[in-house]
Amino acid sequence: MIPLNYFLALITVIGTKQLMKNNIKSIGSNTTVHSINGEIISIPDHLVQKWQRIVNIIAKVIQVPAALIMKVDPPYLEVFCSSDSKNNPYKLGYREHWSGLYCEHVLRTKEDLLIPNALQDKHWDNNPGIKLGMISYFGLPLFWPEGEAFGTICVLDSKENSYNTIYKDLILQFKGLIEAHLELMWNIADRERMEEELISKKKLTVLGQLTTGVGYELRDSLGSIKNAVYLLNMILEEPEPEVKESLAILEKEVETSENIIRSLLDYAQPRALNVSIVDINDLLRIVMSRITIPENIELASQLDEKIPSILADPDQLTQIFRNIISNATYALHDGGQLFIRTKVTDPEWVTISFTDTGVGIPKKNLDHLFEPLFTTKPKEIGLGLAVTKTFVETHGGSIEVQSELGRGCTFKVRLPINTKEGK
Amino acid sequence: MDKKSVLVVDDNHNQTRTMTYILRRNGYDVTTAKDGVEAIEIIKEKSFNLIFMDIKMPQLNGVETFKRLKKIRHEAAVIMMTAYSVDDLVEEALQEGARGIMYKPLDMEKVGAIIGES
Repeated sequence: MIPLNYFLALITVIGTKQLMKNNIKSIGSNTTVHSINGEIISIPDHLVQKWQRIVNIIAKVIQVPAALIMKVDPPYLEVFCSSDSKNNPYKLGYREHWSGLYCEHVLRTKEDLLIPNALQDKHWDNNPGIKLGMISYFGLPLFWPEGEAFGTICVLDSKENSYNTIYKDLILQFKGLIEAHLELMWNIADRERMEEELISKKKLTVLGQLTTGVGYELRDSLGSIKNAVYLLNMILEEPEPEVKESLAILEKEVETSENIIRSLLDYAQPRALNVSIVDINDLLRIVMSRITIPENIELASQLDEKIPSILADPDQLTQIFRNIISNATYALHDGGQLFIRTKVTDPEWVTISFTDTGVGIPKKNLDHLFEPLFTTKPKEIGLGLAVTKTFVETHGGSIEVQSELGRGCTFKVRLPINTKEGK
Repeated sequence: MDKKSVLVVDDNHNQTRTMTYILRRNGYDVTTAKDGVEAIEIIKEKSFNLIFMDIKMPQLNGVETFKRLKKIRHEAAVIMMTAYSVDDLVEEALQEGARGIMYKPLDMEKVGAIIGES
Protein backbone atom coordinates (compact mmCIF):
# COMPACT_ATOMS: atom_id res chain seq x y z
CA MET A 1 0.00 0.00 0.00
CA ILE A 2 1.19 3.52 -0.77
CA PRO A 3 1.74 5.44 2.48
CA LEU A 4 -0.83 8.07 3.39
CA ASN A 5 1.96 10.61 3.77
CA TYR A 6 2.42 10.45 0.04
CA PHE A 7 -1.14 11.60 -0.56
CA LEU A 8 -0.99 14.26 2.08
CA ALA A 9 2.11 15.60 0.37
CA LEU A 10 0.21 15.47 -2.91
CA ILE A 11 -2.61 17.47 -1.41
CA THR A 12 -0.06 20.11 -0.45
CA VAL A 13 1.20 20.16 -4.02
CA ILE A 14 -2.29 20.83 -5.36
CA GLY A 15 -2.43 23.14 -2.38
CA THR A 16 -4.68 26.07 -1.76
CA LYS A 17 -2.06 28.79 -1.39
CA GLN A 18 -0.72 28.35 -4.89
CA LEU A 19 -4.22 28.05 -6.26
CA MET A 20 -5.31 31.27 -4.63
CA LYS A 21 -2.72 33.22 -6.58
CA ASN A 22 -3.37 31.50 -9.88
CA ASN A 23 -7.13 31.48 -9.65
CA ILE A 24 -7.57 35.10 -8.87
CA LYS A 25 -5.63 35.89 -12.00
CA SER A 26 -7.51 33.44 -14.14
CA ILE A 27 -11.02 34.39 -13.08
CA GLY A 28 -12.95 35.66 -16.01
CA SER A 29 -11.52 33.22 -18.52
CA ASN A 30 -12.55 29.63 -19.09
CA THR A 31 -14.95 29.55 -16.18
CA THR A 32 -17.84 27.33 -15.33
CA VAL A 33 -20.67 29.33 -13.87
CA HIS A 34 -22.72 28.29 -10.88
CA SER A 35 -25.55 30.01 -9.21
CA ILE A 36 -26.02 29.75 -5.51
CA ASN A 37 -28.48 31.84 -3.53
CA GLY A 38 -28.94 33.85 -6.69
CA GLU A 39 -25.24 34.68 -6.73
CA ILE A 40 -23.06 33.79 -9.69
CA ILE A 41 -19.90 32.01 -8.69
CA SER A 42 -17.26 31.15 -11.23
CA ILE A 43 -15.05 28.12 -11.02
CA PRO A 44 -12.10 28.26 -13.41
CA ASP A 45 -11.66 25.34 -15.74
CA HIS A 46 -8.13 24.64 -14.56
CA LEU A 47 -9.46 24.20 -11.04
CA VAL A 48 -12.03 21.75 -12.34
CA GLN A 49 -9.12 19.94 -14.02
CA LYS A 50 -7.38 19.68 -10.63
CA TRP A 51 -10.51 18.16 -9.14
CA GLN A 52 -10.52 15.75 -12.05
CA ARG A 53 -6.98 14.68 -11.12
CA ILE A 54 -8.14 14.20 -7.54
CA VAL A 55 -10.87 11.73 -8.51
CA ASN A 56 -8.48 9.95 -10.88
CA ILE A 57 -6.00 9.51 -8.02
CA ILE A 58 -8.69 8.35 -5.59
CA ALA A 59 -10.01 5.72 -8.00
CA LYS A 60 -6.50 4.48 -8.74
CA VAL A 61 -5.41 4.27 -5.10
CA ILE A 62 -8.59 2.72 -3.73
CA GLN A 63 -8.88 0.58 -6.85
CA VAL A 64 -12.54 1.20 -7.54
CA PRO A 65 -14.28 1.72 -10.88
CA ALA A 66 -15.71 5.11 -9.94
CA ALA A 67 -14.64 8.13 -7.91
CA LEU A 68 -16.89 11.14 -8.44
CA ILE A 69 -17.52 14.72 -7.53
CA MET A 70 -21.26 15.31 -7.86
CA LYS A 71 -22.82 18.76 -8.06
CA VAL A 72 -26.26 19.77 -6.88
CA ASP A 73 -28.32 21.37 -9.63
CA PRO A 74 -31.94 21.05 -8.45
CA PRO A 75 -33.85 18.97 -9.34
CA TYR A 76 -30.79 17.09 -10.58
CA LEU A 77 -27.51 15.79 -9.37
CA GLU A 78 -24.80 16.18 -11.98
CA VAL A 79 -21.58 14.20 -12.47
CA PHE A 80 -19.15 17.12 -12.22
CA CYS A 81 -15.90 15.11 -12.19
CA SER A 82 -15.66 11.39 -12.91
CA SER A 83 -12.50 9.30 -12.60
CA ASP A 84 -10.91 8.10 -15.83
CA SER A 85 -10.84 4.54 -14.36
CA LYS A 86 -11.74 1.39 -16.27
CA ASN A 87 -15.40 0.30 -16.17
CA ASN A 88 -16.59 3.60 -14.73
CA PRO A 89 -20.27 3.82 -15.75
CA TYR A 90 -20.62 7.52 -14.78
CA LYS A 91 -20.17 9.85 -17.72
CA LEU A 92 -19.14 13.45 -17.18
CA GLY A 93 -22.08 15.82 -17.22
CA TYR A 94 -24.62 13.05 -16.70
CA ARG A 95 -27.60 14.32 -14.71
CA GLU A 96 -29.92 12.23 -12.62
CA HIS A 97 -33.18 13.28 -10.96
CA TRP A 98 -33.27 13.08 -7.19
CA SER A 99 -34.71 9.57 -7.07
CA GLY A 100 -33.13 7.74 -4.17
CA LEU A 101 -29.48 8.12 -5.14
CA TYR A 102 -26.73 7.30 -2.65
CA CYS A 103 -25.46 10.88 -2.89
CA GLU A 104 -28.95 12.20 -2.35
CA HIS A 105 -28.96 10.55 1.08
CA VAL A 106 -25.61 12.19 1.89
CA LEU A 107 -27.01 15.59 0.89
CA ARG A 108 -30.22 15.15 2.84
CA THR A 109 -28.50 14.01 6.05
CA LYS A 110 -25.42 16.20 5.47
CA GLU A 111 -23.39 13.28 6.79
CA ASP A 112 -21.00 10.65 5.47
CA LEU A 113 -22.56 7.51 4.10
CA LEU A 114 -20.97 4.08 3.95
CA ILE A 115 -22.82 1.27 2.17
CA PRO A 116 -20.60 -1.82 2.04
CA ASN A 117 -23.20 -3.79 0.07
CA ALA A 118 -26.42 -2.20 -1.09
CA LEU A 119 -27.81 -5.57 -2.16
CA GLN A 120 -28.10 -6.53 1.50
CA ASP A 121 -30.33 -3.58 2.36
CA LYS A 122 -33.84 -3.34 0.88
CA HIS A 123 -33.69 0.42 1.27
CA TRP A 124 -31.47 0.61 -1.83
CA ASP A 125 -33.48 -1.79 -4.00
CA ASN A 126 -34.46 0.87 -6.50
CA ASN A 127 -31.19 2.72 -6.42
CA PRO A 128 -29.98 3.77 -9.88
CA GLY A 129 -26.43 2.84 -8.77
CA ILE A 130 -27.39 -0.84 -8.46
CA LYS A 131 -28.71 -0.81 -12.02
CA LEU A 132 -25.26 0.34 -13.08
CA GLY A 133 -23.71 -2.47 -11.05
CA MET A 134 -22.40 -0.20 -8.31
CA ILE A 135 -23.30 -1.97 -5.07
CA SER A 136 -20.98 -0.33 -2.56
CA TYR A 137 -20.63 3.32 -1.77
CA PHE A 138 -18.75 5.76 0.41
CA GLY A 139 -19.46 9.46 0.10
CA LEU A 140 -19.06 12.76 1.89
CA PRO A 141 -21.00 16.00 1.43
CA LEU A 142 -19.23 19.07 -0.01
CA PHE A 143 -20.31 22.44 1.32
CA TRP A 144 -20.00 26.06 0.33
CA PRO A 145 -18.58 28.20 3.20
CA GLU A 146 -22.00 29.20 4.50
CA GLY A 147 -23.20 25.64 4.75
CA GLU A 148 -25.14 25.30 1.51
CA ALA A 149 -24.50 22.02 -0.29
CA PHE A 150 -22.28 22.05 -3.37
CA GLY A 151 -22.56 18.28 -3.87
CA THR A 152 -20.61 15.21 -2.84
CA ILE A 153 -17.30 13.45 -3.27
CA CYS A 154 -17.75 9.70 -3.42
CA VAL A 155 -16.43 6.32 -4.51
CA LEU A 156 -18.42 3.37 -5.84
CA ASP A 157 -17.49 -0.26 -6.33
CA SER A 158 -19.04 -3.16 -8.19
CA LYS A 159 -18.24 -5.52 -5.33
CA GLU A 160 -18.73 -5.38 -1.57
CA ASN A 161 -16.34 -2.90 -0.04
CA SER A 162 -16.08 -1.43 3.46
CA TYR A 163 -13.34 1.04 2.46
CA ASN A 164 -10.63 0.98 5.11
CA THR A 165 -9.97 3.87 7.41
CA ILE A 166 -6.96 5.19 5.50
CA TYR A 167 -8.95 5.42 2.26
CA LYS A 168 -11.78 7.18 4.05
CA ASP A 169 -9.28 9.58 5.53
CA LEU A 170 -7.81 10.20 2.08
CA ILE A 171 -11.23 11.15 0.70
CA LEU A 172 -11.83 13.31 3.78
CA GLN A 173 -8.58 15.19 3.10
CA PHE A 174 -9.59 15.83 -0.49
CA LYS A 175 -13.02 16.97 0.69
CA GLY A 176 -11.20 19.56 2.84
CA LEU A 177 -9.16 20.69 -0.15
CA ILE A 178 -12.17 21.03 -2.46
CA GLU A 179 -14.07 22.95 0.21
CA ALA A 180 -11.09 25.28 0.56
CA HIS A 181 -11.34 25.91 -3.19
CA LEU A 182 -15.07 26.56 -2.84
CA GLU A 183 -14.39 29.02 -0.06
CA LEU A 184 -11.88 30.79 -2.25
CA MET A 185 -14.39 31.04 -5.12
CA TRP A 186 -17.04 32.24 -2.68
CA ASN A 187 -14.75 34.96 -1.32
CA ILE A 188 -13.81 36.14 -4.80
CA ALA A 189 -17.49 36.36 -5.77
CA ASP A 190 -18.20 38.18 -2.52
CA ARG A 191 -15.41 40.67 -3.17
CA GLU A 192 -16.63 41.29 -6.70
CA ARG A 193 -20.14 41.88 -5.38
CA MET A 194 -18.83 44.36 -2.79
CA GLU A 195 -16.82 46.15 -5.46
CA GLU A 196 -19.93 46.42 -7.61
CA GLU A 197 -21.88 47.82 -4.65
CA LEU A 198 -19.14 50.36 -4.02
CA ILE A 199 -19.19 51.49 -7.64
CA SER A 200 -22.97 51.73 -7.46
CA LYS A 201 -22.71 53.87 -4.28
CA LYS A 202 -20.16 56.15 -5.91
CA LYS A 203 -22.47 56.56 -8.89
CA LEU A 204 -25.22 57.53 -6.47
CA THR A 205 -23.16 60.11 -4.60
CA VAL A 206 -22.25 61.84 -7.84
CA LEU A 207 -25.84 61.56 -8.96
CA GLY A 208 -27.07 63.14 -5.72
CA GLN A 209 -24.77 66.12 -6.07
CA LEU A 210 -25.64 66.60 -9.71
CA THR A 211 -29.32 66.28 -9.04
CA THR A 212 -29.58 69.04 -6.51
CA GLY A 213 -27.99 71.60 -8.75
CA VAL A 214 -29.03 70.56 -12.23
CA GLY A 215 -32.58 69.50 -11.29
CA TYR A 216 -33.27 72.86 -9.67
CA GLU A 217 -31.92 74.92 -12.54
CA LEU A 218 -33.67 72.87 -15.20
CA ARG A 219 -37.04 73.02 -13.47
CA ASP A 220 -36.72 76.75 -13.26
CA SER A 221 -36.00 77.00 -16.98
CA LEU A 222 -38.78 74.57 -17.79
CA GLY A 223 -41.12 76.78 -15.77
CA SER A 224 -40.51 79.67 -18.13
CA ILE A 225 -40.91 77.50 -21.24
CA LYS A 226 -44.14 76.03 -19.87
CA ASN A 227 -45.49 79.50 -19.07
CA ALA A 228 -44.60 80.75 -22.53
CA VAL A 229 -46.42 77.84 -24.17
CA TYR A 230 -49.43 78.41 -21.92
CA LEU A 231 -49.44 82.07 -22.88
CA LEU A 232 -49.27 81.32 -26.62
CA ASN A 233 -52.09 78.79 -26.32
CA MET A 234 -54.08 81.47 -24.54
CA ILE A 235 -53.41 84.22 -27.06
CA LEU A 236 -53.59 82.35 -30.35
CA GLU A 237 -57.28 81.81 -30.97
CA GLU A 238 -57.08 79.92 -34.23
CA PRO A 239 -53.43 79.04 -34.83
CA GLU A 240 -52.32 77.50 -38.11
CA PRO A 241 -52.03 73.69 -37.94
CA GLU A 242 -48.21 73.81 -37.86
CA VAL A 243 -48.26 76.32 -35.01
CA LYS A 244 -50.80 74.28 -33.10
CA GLU A 245 -48.75 71.13 -33.59
CA SER A 246 -45.52 72.87 -32.59
CA LEU A 247 -47.12 74.11 -29.38
CA ALA A 248 -48.34 70.59 -28.63
CA ILE A 249 -44.80 69.27 -29.21
CA LEU A 250 -43.40 71.89 -26.84
CA GLU A 251 -45.93 70.91 -24.19
CA LYS A 252 -45.17 67.22 -24.59
CA GLU A 253 -41.40 67.74 -24.43
CA VAL A 254 -41.71 69.89 -21.32
CA GLU A 255 -43.70 67.09 -19.72
CA THR A 256 -41.06 64.50 -20.70
CA SER A 257 -38.33 66.69 -19.25
CA GLU A 258 -40.32 67.18 -16.06
CA ASN A 259 -40.67 63.42 -15.70
CA ILE A 260 -36.95 62.85 -16.14
CA ILE A 261 -36.10 65.49 -13.54
CA ARG A 262 -38.69 64.09 -11.14
CA SER A 263 -37.28 60.57 -11.37
CA LEU A 264 -33.79 61.95 -10.87
CA LEU A 265 -34.85 63.82 -7.74
CA ASP A 266 -36.97 60.94 -6.46
CA TYR A 267 -34.04 58.60 -6.70
CA ALA A 268 -31.33 60.85 -5.34
CA GLN A 269 -33.41 62.44 -2.58
CA PRO A 270 -36.36 60.15 -1.81
CA ARG A 271 -39.31 61.74 -0.07
CA ALA A 272 -40.57 60.45 3.28
CA LEU A 273 -43.51 58.04 3.05
CA ASN A 274 -46.90 59.70 3.23
CA VAL A 275 -49.12 56.74 4.06
CA SER A 276 -52.85 56.26 3.97
CA ILE A 277 -55.27 53.36 3.47
CA VAL A 278 -54.97 52.30 -0.16
CA ASP A 279 -57.14 49.98 -2.23
CA ILE A 280 -54.57 48.50 -4.61
CA ASN A 281 -57.18 47.46 -7.19
CA ASP A 282 -58.74 50.93 -7.30
CA LEU A 283 -55.35 52.54 -7.60
CA LEU A 284 -54.42 50.21 -10.47
CA ARG A 285 -57.70 51.00 -12.24
CA ILE A 286 -56.97 54.72 -11.94
CA VAL A 287 -53.40 54.29 -13.24
CA MET A 288 -54.62 52.11 -16.14
CA SER A 289 -57.27 54.65 -17.09
CA ARG A 290 -54.85 57.59 -17.05
CA ILE A 291 -51.88 56.08 -18.82
CA THR A 292 -51.82 56.25 -22.61
CA ILE A 293 -51.66 52.74 -24.01
CA PRO A 294 -50.92 52.49 -27.75
CA GLU A 295 -53.67 50.90 -29.83
CA ASN A 296 -51.65 47.84 -30.77
CA ILE A 297 -51.42 46.81 -27.13
CA GLU A 298 -54.21 44.81 -25.57
CA LEU A 299 -54.49 45.60 -21.86
CA ALA A 300 -56.22 43.03 -19.66
CA SER A 301 -56.46 42.63 -15.91
CA GLN A 302 -57.62 40.19 -13.31
CA LEU A 303 -57.91 41.97 -9.99
CA ASP A 304 -58.57 39.84 -6.94
CA GLU A 305 -61.41 41.56 -5.10
CA LYS A 306 -60.47 39.79 -1.87
CA ILE A 307 -57.39 41.96 -1.50
CA PRO A 308 -57.61 43.99 1.70
CA SER A 309 -56.70 47.66 1.66
CA ILE A 310 -53.15 48.29 2.79
CA LEU A 311 -51.33 51.12 4.47
CA ALA A 312 -49.13 52.68 1.78
CA ASP A 313 -48.06 55.88 0.06
CA PRO A 314 -50.51 56.20 -2.86
CA ASP A 315 -48.23 58.56 -4.80
CA GLN A 316 -45.32 56.15 -4.61
CA LEU A 317 -47.50 53.16 -5.52
CA THR A 318 -48.88 55.10 -8.48
CA GLN A 319 -45.37 55.77 -9.67
CA ILE A 320 -44.36 52.12 -9.17
CA PHE A 321 -47.28 50.98 -11.33
CA ARG A 322 -46.79 53.70 -13.94
CA ASN A 323 -43.09 52.89 -14.30
CA ILE A 324 -43.69 49.17 -14.77
CA ILE A 325 -46.56 49.71 -17.22
CA SER A 326 -44.54 52.25 -19.15
CA ASN A 327 -41.67 49.74 -19.35
CA ALA A 328 -44.07 47.10 -20.63
CA THR A 329 -45.52 49.36 -23.32
CA TYR A 330 -41.97 50.10 -24.48
CA ALA A 331 -41.27 46.36 -24.73
CA LEU A 332 -44.52 45.98 -26.67
CA HIS A 333 -43.66 48.50 -29.39
CA ASP A 334 -44.61 45.92 -32.03
CA GLY A 335 -47.89 45.20 -30.27
CA GLY A 336 -49.00 42.42 -27.94
CA GLN A 337 -50.66 41.92 -24.60
CA LEU A 338 -50.15 43.36 -21.16
CA PHE A 339 -51.81 41.43 -18.38
CA ILE A 340 -52.08 42.89 -14.88
CA ARG A 341 -53.06 40.69 -12.02
CA THR A 342 -53.45 41.15 -8.26
CA LYS A 343 -53.54 38.30 -5.83
CA VAL A 344 -53.27 37.60 -2.11
CA THR A 345 -50.37 35.18 -2.18
CA ASP A 346 -50.43 34.38 1.52
CA PRO A 347 -52.11 35.95 4.54
CA GLU A 348 -49.49 38.66 4.79
CA TRP A 349 -48.60 39.51 1.20
CA VAL A 350 -50.28 40.84 -1.88
CA THR A 351 -48.67 40.27 -5.27
CA ILE A 352 -49.20 42.53 -8.26
CA SER A 353 -47.87 41.02 -11.47
CA PHE A 354 -47.43 42.69 -14.85
CA THR A 355 -46.92 40.24 -17.71
CA ASP A 356 -46.20 41.39 -21.23
CA THR A 357 -45.68 39.48 -24.46
CA GLY A 358 -43.01 41.89 -25.63
CA VAL A 359 -39.42 41.52 -26.73
CA GLY A 360 -38.17 40.27 -23.38
CA ILE A 361 -34.97 41.19 -21.58
CA PRO A 362 -31.59 39.63 -22.45
CA LYS A 363 -30.12 37.68 -19.56
CA LYS A 364 -27.07 39.97 -19.40
CA ASN A 365 -29.39 42.94 -18.77
CA LEU A 366 -31.52 41.22 -16.13
CA ASP A 367 -28.82 41.52 -13.47
CA HIS A 368 -28.52 45.28 -14.03
CA LEU A 369 -32.17 46.09 -14.52
CA PHE A 370 -32.73 47.83 -11.19
CA GLU A 371 -29.38 49.61 -11.10
CA PRO A 372 -29.39 53.40 -11.37
CA LEU A 373 -28.30 54.86 -14.71
CA PHE A 374 -28.89 51.59 -16.53
CA THR A 375 -31.10 51.85 -19.57
CA THR A 376 -31.54 50.46 -23.06
CA LYS A 377 -34.01 53.16 -24.06
CA PRO A 378 -32.69 56.08 -26.09
CA LYS A 379 -34.72 58.80 -24.35
CA GLU A 380 -34.30 57.75 -20.73
CA ILE A 381 -31.59 58.14 -18.15
CA GLY A 382 -32.13 54.80 -16.45
CA LEU A 383 -33.78 55.67 -13.16
CA GLY A 384 -37.35 54.44 -13.60
CA LEU A 385 -36.81 50.92 -12.33
CA ALA A 386 -34.20 52.01 -9.78
CA VAL A 387 -36.79 54.39 -8.29
CA THR A 388 -39.44 51.68 -8.53
CA LYS A 389 -37.28 49.27 -6.56
CA THR A 390 -36.46 51.91 -3.93
CA PHE A 391 -40.16 52.73 -3.49
CA VAL A 392 -41.16 49.06 -3.24
CA GLU A 393 -38.45 48.41 -0.67
CA THR A 394 -39.40 51.50 1.34
CA HIS A 395 -42.80 49.84 1.68
CA GLY A 396 -41.12 46.70 3.02
CA GLY A 397 -41.87 44.86 -0.22
CA SER A 398 -39.88 43.25 -2.98
CA ILE A 399 -39.78 43.30 -6.75
CA GLU A 400 -38.58 40.62 -9.12
CA VAL A 401 -38.50 40.12 -12.85
CA GLN A 402 -38.60 37.02 -14.98
CA SER A 403 -38.01 37.18 -18.68
CA GLU A 404 -37.31 35.11 -21.71
CA LEU A 405 -35.88 36.84 -24.75
CA GLY A 406 -38.51 37.14 -27.44
CA ARG A 407 -41.27 35.89 -25.17
CA GLY A 408 -41.92 38.85 -22.91
CA CYS A 409 -41.46 39.36 -19.24
CA THR A 410 -43.19 39.49 -15.88
CA PHE A 411 -42.60 41.98 -13.11
CA LYS A 412 -43.86 40.86 -9.72
CA VAL A 413 -44.29 43.38 -6.92
CA ARG A 414 -44.92 41.95 -3.47
CA LEU A 415 -46.23 44.27 -0.79
CA PRO A 416 -46.89 43.44 2.85
CA ILE A 417 -50.58 43.67 3.74
CA ASN A 418 -49.92 45.23 7.14
CA THR A 419 -47.55 47.85 5.92
CA LYS A 420 -46.13 49.89 8.72
CA GLU A 421 -43.97 52.97 8.35
CA GLY A 422 -41.10 51.83 6.16
CA LYS A 423 -37.39 52.43 6.40
CA MET B 1 -64.70 95.92 -8.81
CA ASP B 2 -60.96 96.57 -8.56
CA LYS B 3 -58.59 94.18 -10.20
CA LYS B 4 -56.97 91.68 -7.85
CA SER B 5 -53.34 92.55 -7.29
CA VAL B 6 -50.50 90.07 -7.47
CA LEU B 7 -46.79 90.44 -6.76
CA VAL B 8 -44.39 87.97 -8.40
CA VAL B 9 -40.93 87.76 -6.83
CA ASP B 10 -38.36 85.69 -8.70
CA ASP B 11 -34.75 86.17 -9.73
CA ASN B 12 -35.51 84.31 -12.98
CA HIS B 13 -36.49 87.13 -15.28
CA ASN B 14 -38.16 84.84 -17.84
CA GLN B 15 -40.33 83.33 -15.11
CA THR B 16 -41.60 86.73 -13.93
CA ARG B 17 -42.13 87.99 -17.49
CA THR B 18 -44.15 84.97 -18.65
CA MET B 19 -46.20 84.88 -15.44
CA THR B 20 -46.91 88.57 -15.80
CA TYR B 21 -48.15 88.22 -19.40
CA ILE B 22 -50.48 85.37 -18.46
CA LEU B 23 -51.87 86.94 -15.31
CA ARG B 24 -52.40 90.33 -16.91
CA ARG B 25 -54.34 88.70 -19.73
CA ASN B 26 -56.43 87.01 -17.07
CA GLY B 27 -57.29 90.41 -15.72
CA TYR B 28 -55.01 90.78 -12.72
CA ASP B 29 -52.91 93.73 -11.69
CA VAL B 30 -49.37 92.31 -11.70
CA THR B 31 -46.18 93.76 -10.22
CA THR B 32 -42.81 92.01 -10.30
CA ALA B 33 -39.64 92.11 -8.22
CA LYS B 34 -36.30 90.57 -9.19
CA ASP B 35 -35.27 89.79 -5.60
CA GLY B 36 -36.26 90.00 -1.94
CA VAL B 37 -34.79 93.44 -1.39
CA GLU B 38 -36.78 94.95 -4.24
CA ALA B 39 -39.93 93.07 -3.07
CA ILE B 40 -39.70 94.66 0.40
CA GLU B 41 -39.36 98.13 -1.07
CA ILE B 42 -42.48 97.56 -3.20
CA ILE B 43 -44.47 96.14 -0.27
CA LYS B 44 -43.71 99.21 1.80
CA GLU B 45 -45.65 101.20 -0.82
CA LYS B 46 -48.45 98.82 -1.76
CA SER B 47 -50.46 95.86 -0.47
CA PHE B 48 -51.33 92.80 -2.63
CA ASN B 49 -54.08 90.21 -2.64
CA LEU B 50 -51.46 87.53 -3.19
CA ILE B 51 -47.67 87.30 -3.42
CA PHE B 52 -45.87 84.55 -5.37
CA MET B 53 -42.34 84.23 -4.04
CA ASP B 54 -39.52 82.03 -5.26
CA ILE B 55 -37.76 80.34 -2.33
CA LYS B 56 -34.23 80.25 -3.71
CA MET B 57 -32.99 83.69 -4.52
CA PRO B 58 -29.54 85.27 -4.15
CA GLN B 59 -28.79 87.43 -1.06
CA LEU B 60 -32.19 87.29 0.61
CA ASN B 61 -33.99 83.99 0.10
CA GLY B 62 -37.79 83.71 -0.12
CA VAL B 63 -38.31 82.71 3.50
CA GLU B 64 -36.16 85.53 4.87
CA THR B 65 -37.97 87.99 2.60
CA PHE B 66 -41.30 86.62 3.87
CA LYS B 67 -40.23 87.08 7.52
CA ARG B 68 -39.28 90.70 6.85
CA LEU B 69 -42.35 91.58 4.84
CA LYS B 70 -44.62 90.15 7.58
CA LYS B 71 -43.25 92.91 9.83
CA ILE B 72 -44.40 95.47 7.29
CA ARG B 73 -47.69 93.82 6.33
CA HIS B 74 -48.70 91.21 8.86
CA GLU B 75 -51.66 89.99 6.79
CA ALA B 76 -49.62 89.38 3.59
CA ALA B 77 -50.70 86.19 1.81
CA VAL B 78 -47.67 84.47 0.33
CA ILE B 79 -47.42 81.41 -1.92
CA MET B 80 -43.92 80.04 -2.09
CA MET B 81 -42.59 78.79 -5.42
CA THR B 82 -39.88 76.15 -5.54
CA ALA B 83 -38.30 73.85 -8.05
CA TYR B 84 -37.11 71.42 -5.44
CA SER B 85 -39.42 69.15 -3.46
CA VAL B 86 -37.21 68.30 -0.51
CA ASP B 87 -36.19 71.70 0.58
CA ASP B 88 -35.73 72.53 4.26
CA LEU B 89 -36.81 76.04 3.39
CA VAL B 90 -40.21 74.71 2.30
CA GLU B 91 -40.90 73.47 5.79
CA GLU B 92 -39.65 76.68 7.36
CA ALA B 93 -41.85 78.74 5.04
CA LEU B 94 -44.95 76.79 6.08
CA GLN B 95 -44.06 77.19 9.77
CA GLU B 96 -43.72 80.91 9.19
CA GLY B 97 -47.27 80.96 7.86
CA ALA B 98 -46.92 80.78 4.09
CA ARG B 99 -50.32 80.16 2.45
CA GLY B 100 -48.97 77.33 0.35
CA ILE B 101 -46.21 75.89 -1.80
CA MET B 102 -46.27 75.58 -5.58
CA TYR B 103 -43.76 73.49 -7.42
CA LYS B 104 -42.08 74.60 -10.61
CA PRO B 105 -42.78 74.26 -13.44
CA LEU B 106 -46.00 75.92 -12.29
CA ASP B 107 -49.43 74.78 -13.35
CA MET B 108 -50.90 78.11 -14.48
CA GLU B 109 -54.47 76.82 -14.22
CA LYS B 110 -53.85 76.24 -10.50
CA VAL B 111 -52.20 79.62 -10.15
CA GLY B 112 -55.30 81.23 -11.64
CA ALA B 113 -57.59 79.26 -9.31
CA ILE B 114 -55.59 80.26 -6.24
CA ILE B 115 -55.69 83.95 -7.13
CA GLY B 116 -59.40 83.60 -7.78
CA GLU B 117 -59.91 82.30 -4.25
CA SER B 118 -57.75 84.97 -2.61
